[in-house]
Amino acid sequence: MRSSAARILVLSALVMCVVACSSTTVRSTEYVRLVRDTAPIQEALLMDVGVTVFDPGIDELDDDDLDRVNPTIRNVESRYAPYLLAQTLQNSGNWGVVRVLPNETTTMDVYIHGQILNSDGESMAINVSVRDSSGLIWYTKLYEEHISRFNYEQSQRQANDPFQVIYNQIANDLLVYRNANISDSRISQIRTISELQFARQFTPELFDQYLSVDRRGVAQIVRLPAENDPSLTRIRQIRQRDNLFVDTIQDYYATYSRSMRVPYDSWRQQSFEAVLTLKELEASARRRMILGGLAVVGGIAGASSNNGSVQTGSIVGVGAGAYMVKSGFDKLAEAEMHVAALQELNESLESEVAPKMIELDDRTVMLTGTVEEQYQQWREILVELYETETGGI
Amino acid sequence: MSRGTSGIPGAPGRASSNGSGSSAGLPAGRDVSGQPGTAGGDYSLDKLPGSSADGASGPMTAQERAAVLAGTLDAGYEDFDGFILEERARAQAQANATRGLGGTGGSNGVGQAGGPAGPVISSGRNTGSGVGATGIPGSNANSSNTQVSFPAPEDIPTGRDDDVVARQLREAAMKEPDPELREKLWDEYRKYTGIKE
Repeated sequence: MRSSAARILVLSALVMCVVACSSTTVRSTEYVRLVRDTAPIQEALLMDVGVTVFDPGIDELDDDDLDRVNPTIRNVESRYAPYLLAQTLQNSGNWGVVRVLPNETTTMDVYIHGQILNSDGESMAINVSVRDSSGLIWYTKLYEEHISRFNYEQSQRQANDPFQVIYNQIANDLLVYRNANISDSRISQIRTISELQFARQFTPELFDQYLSVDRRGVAQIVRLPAENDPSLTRIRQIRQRDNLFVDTIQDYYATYSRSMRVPYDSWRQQSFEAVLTLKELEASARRRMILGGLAVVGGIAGASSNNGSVQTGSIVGVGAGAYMVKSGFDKLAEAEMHVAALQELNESLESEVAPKMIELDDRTVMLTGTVEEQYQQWREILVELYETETGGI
Repeated sequence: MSRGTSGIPGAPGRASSNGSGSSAGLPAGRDVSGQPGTAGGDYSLDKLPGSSADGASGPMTAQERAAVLAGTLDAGYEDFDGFILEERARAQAQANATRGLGGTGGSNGVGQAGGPAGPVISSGRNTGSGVGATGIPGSNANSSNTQVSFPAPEDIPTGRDDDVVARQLREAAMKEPDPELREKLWDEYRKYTGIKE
């Protein structure tokens, strides 16, 4: 009687385990469309958006991740993904100019920061935070997407990035937030703050007085310069040139992204297959080892029975269990081979795209340095002009 | 509190010259190849007429000094514009070359045919009158705040492979209030990007 109960218990455990271990990830091929605001927006109310180069999330990787994630590729992606997001936002027509920023020295009305938490061709996870030029954080949200083979079909790839859905979702959420939380008057205020922030960064001696920063680090307008303030006029002329500088940087990013696309997409597609195989192998190995372990335990429990047939069955169970455990280890070994293949794939892409990233960074640093030298000259002249025009008052 | 923002006025003076020189005299900067260049104008304040280091000139009035400084600033704008135009032309040429290599997945091989010659300046909204002399014709005739942004038609992709010209066409179309003209701009965009052969 007792042995029957034990057998039922073991069988139940086996059934439950099989059910639990065979859970399947459902991949939705539903395409989240990019939402465009229904009503045209007055240009004065279009906020400019800066998407900063993403944090590649390398510091978040543990040792296991480092077996499969190539830090250089992450760095490459941290410049590629913001460009796609900027293009998506620009294409929505819901915003003013949308630009990728190598850093935050350029003043925009809204900033989007992202941290890549995962990207392996099969899934992508990005933690996104949004704030405006006053420093007020709008929200932080984690975006995660698993895609199917469909996303890599040629027809899809020509139209969209395989992970376009994630960029559409980010863009749609930003629109929803803006419409729900940011009034027209607040938009005007944010745009004024952006201008004053730029002016203050450029010549704090002249423009510090117009903004104050509260304890939360959020800027508030204290007062406004006169519309015909000559210093403000000059700052606007300089800001216009800063926009041109940022546009030039966009050309760099456009070239970079275009040259990246073919090798990167190819890598992602191969990585997609490798990751799926790897996950299946690891899941299979886990299943076999758990089932095998349970069979061994159940067999040992049955071996103590007085019933001869139960004892025989238990011995068979122990043997079968041991075999399953061994085959689980074999699967793990096979998975390790796929990890090695993935690493090889990563290294191949790294050698192809890393030089493009270095070229992008070099070019950006060169232009930024040159422009900054010019700005320094202008700063001095602006202050000198101000002192001359006001008599140093 | 808010007075809104009007357009950013362009620089006074002549249109930027996009000469054939190097970095158009950016002071102590580098030429467009990234190599250190020769210094252009020397804007250091102690070299300005009327400064303490300028023994040759007599004392200037505040108004004269301000005029000299403003002139120096304007000259700096022109140099800067020339430099940026050159750099953008270089970047554009590189972008087109990359495009020619089949960056769009081989869907088209559209080159520069029919596109505007020379560099195109956008700087987003309110492309004022002073910066550069080029731009999308008709796209910036009115820099008032009454312009709106119109969404792209359904068949227009995200534009992630847009080069500079395609991007300018896209932005011009999205800002064009006249539906007929807008559709023509989108048609141009389609042709240029190879959506409509």
